[in-house]
Formats: sequence, structure tokens, C-alpha cells
Amino acid sequence: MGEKSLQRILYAEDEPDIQTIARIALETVGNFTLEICSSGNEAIEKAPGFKPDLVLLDVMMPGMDGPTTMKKLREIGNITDTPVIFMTAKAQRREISQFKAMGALDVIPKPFDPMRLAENVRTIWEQHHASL
Amino acid sequence: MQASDNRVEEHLAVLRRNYIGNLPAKLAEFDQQHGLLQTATDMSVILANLRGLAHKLAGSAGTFGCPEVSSAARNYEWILREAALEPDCSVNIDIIHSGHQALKHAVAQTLLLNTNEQCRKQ
Repeated sequence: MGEKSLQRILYAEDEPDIQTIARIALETVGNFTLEICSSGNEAIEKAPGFKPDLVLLDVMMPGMDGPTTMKKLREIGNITDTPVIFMTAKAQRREISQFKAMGALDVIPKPFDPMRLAENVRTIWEQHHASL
Repeated sequence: MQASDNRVEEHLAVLRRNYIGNLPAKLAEFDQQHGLLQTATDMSVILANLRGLAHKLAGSAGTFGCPEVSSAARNYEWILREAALEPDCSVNIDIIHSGHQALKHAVAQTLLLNTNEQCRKQ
């Protein structure tokens, strides 16, 4: 069975500075096709059309937070099974377990190294597919 | 690959300098909320606002290579989280003030270091 390749990433993050650096990290360094959304609501609006292979969600966003956004994305037909990775400064072991119990693939802690982010995302993706 | 990596790192260095240059503006947001604490009738909203600012700054400052600011912001976030657990009349303003001052000091140090780095390059 061929492994699904990771090409398209949708990233929800409300902080403009992080958006800028993430675009470099994922597009320029990682060569991913990236859609950045500034809110959970925007992610829900854009995900069906963008059809991401993977969704990155900031946990703390105004309005709809990351976990709520993931729950809403799961209700969208073609996004139901799309893997989600949370990105957060709240990356203690207990919180990571909680996020995974909610259904997230993994958690990438903030701050992140922009030169390593793409590699980290790929590693999580490959580990997930190796376990299927 | 090496040349393109170098270009990326140069771009990140520019972004970092810009981010550091904007730290005073970010600090001003904290100053504004902190000032409201003195006269607030409901501190919980202001503490929540400050905590949100601190959380975001802790993440972004670390990502942009400002570990002192990130650490001070994270510590301030912890102080604010603890304060939010207290009823308004028991909130220790002095401890919140100390966290705010530590953050201002970290920003000042980072700005000074960045200025010195730029001077050395000229």
C-alpha cells in the first residue's frame, strides 16, 4: 500500500509574527503548500476547499480555540480523518496526553525552531503512517 | 542546498531584528492593561487579557530567538495564572508588578543586545 504523501498543510494561528515565520519554515524550508488561517473559524471555512493533508492548530486562539476547531473540523465530510497536530506553549506531558486523547496526532511545542519545524512535522507524519 | 539555507537564515535574521524592534510596542500593550489594574473593579478580565498577552509573547519571543523575553513572559504568565485563582480583594498587585517589571527588564536587555550587535556589524 502506498503511503499518502504530505504536501498540503493548513495552519491556524492568530499571531502575525508566528504566521510569518511559519510560512518560511513550512513553505520555503519545507516546500509544503501552505494555507494560513488567522482563526479557528477561518480554518473551518477554508479547509473543505483547500483539502489539507494535515492541519496544524494553535491551541490558544481568541474566539474558537484549537481543540474546539479540531472538533468542528471533524464534522466536515472531507476533513473528518485529516490528521491534526497542535502547536502550543502548553506542552507539559499531561497536556500532551490530553491533546492526544482528544484525537490529535501529536503536539509541537512553542517556541519552535523555524529551520526544524518542517522536519518535525514530517517525522510525526511518517511515524503516524508507519503505525497504520 | 547550502546557499538556499543561508538565504533563509538571512531572511530569518531580518525578521528577528524586526521582531525585536517591535518589542516596545508589544510592551506598551502590557503597560496599558497593567495600568488598568490599579483602578479596575473587575480584575479578572484584565488578568485574563494580560495572561493572553504573556502567553503569546512567550511563544513568539522564543521562536524569534529572544529567550530572556520568552522566559520573563512565561514567568509573568504563571504569576497571572496564580493571581486569577484568587478573589479580587486578595490579588497581590506587588507580585504582578514584579512580573511586569521583569518583563520590561528582559525587553530592555534584548533591545540593548540587538543594538550592540547592529553597531558591531557596521
